[in-house]
Amino acid sequence: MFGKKNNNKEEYLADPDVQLMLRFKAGDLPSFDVLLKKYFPRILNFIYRYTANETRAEDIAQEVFIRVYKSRAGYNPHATFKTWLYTIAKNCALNELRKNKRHMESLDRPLTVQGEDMYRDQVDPKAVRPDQLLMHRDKEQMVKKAIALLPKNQKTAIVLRKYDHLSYAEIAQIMRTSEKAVKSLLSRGKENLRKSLSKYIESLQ
Amino acid sequence: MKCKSIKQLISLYGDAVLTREEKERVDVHVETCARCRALLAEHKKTWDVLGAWQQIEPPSDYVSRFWTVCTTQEKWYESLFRLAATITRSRKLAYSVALVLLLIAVVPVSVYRYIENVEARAFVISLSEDEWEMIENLDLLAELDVLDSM
Repeated sequence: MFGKKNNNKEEYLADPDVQLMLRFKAGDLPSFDVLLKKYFPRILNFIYRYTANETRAEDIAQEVFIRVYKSRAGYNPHATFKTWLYTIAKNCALNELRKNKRHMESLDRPLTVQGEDMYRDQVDPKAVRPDQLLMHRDKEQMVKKAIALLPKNQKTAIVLRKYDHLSYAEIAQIMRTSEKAVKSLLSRGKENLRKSLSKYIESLQ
Repeated sequence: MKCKSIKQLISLYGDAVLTREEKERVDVHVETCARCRALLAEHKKTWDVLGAWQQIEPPSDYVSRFWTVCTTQEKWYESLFRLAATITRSRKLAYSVALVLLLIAVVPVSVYRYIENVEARAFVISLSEDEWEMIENLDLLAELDVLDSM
């Protein structure tokens, strides 16, 4: 079965976040507050990195939790709370990308300062200068662009592994696939990133 | 060991998911293969560079914003659920509400019965001795089943 779907309900019931959700289902509102405070920043950043859209990330993250809030009556744990939540977040992020493809941040503009290509700037690594801050922003832009260009499944796997530090098993559950497939996606995703960032990395040396 | 067969292992080497045996295969291969050694180094640098994408902080009032949006979108029965949840969350509040409901149910009945008793007492006090004797005789006749035969 995909994602090594664990039918051991007791294991899910042992998850403290599942317990919080069940308490919320029973009417304990503060339990939902605990989950909101614990996961909102993570989900916000997952959506931000997935859509590369900082402006919309908060709205979408809010929508994720509204869906969780509204689903309390029918909540029946068949996964850990974290994987269930990330699955909802991934679906919301995908919907956003489909809806607003043309409104995604333009990552294609050239990175220059005063007409000069920042990549060729050789700065003293010990000095803290304005252009170093720009270099960092430049690095961030390159990474954003490289990840945005990945096929969606590779992007999902890379973002969940690198930034959310989820295990292969968790990623497999979220993506409804096998761990072997996740391994393959990560390998191909990393290879694509290596190719798109290689020239930039060379320029840093 | 051919480079092609080890390529996937090299890309996942820094991810701490390879088995000990797989790691050893990579270690042995890169000792003799400069190309794969360079590839391994590039993968490590690439993975590290991804860390340059900083995370964003949520606004400080994101919790209250969430509840505002939630309650705005709520249907009437969802509001009732939330009210009931608020009441049951606080024991003191729940007891107070229960007490108030009890008083609302019990007090009017008690007041009505009290008034009824007061009126009955007033009626009894207003009876003369002859009227009392008549009532007692009627009770005796009722016990002897005489009234029905009259």
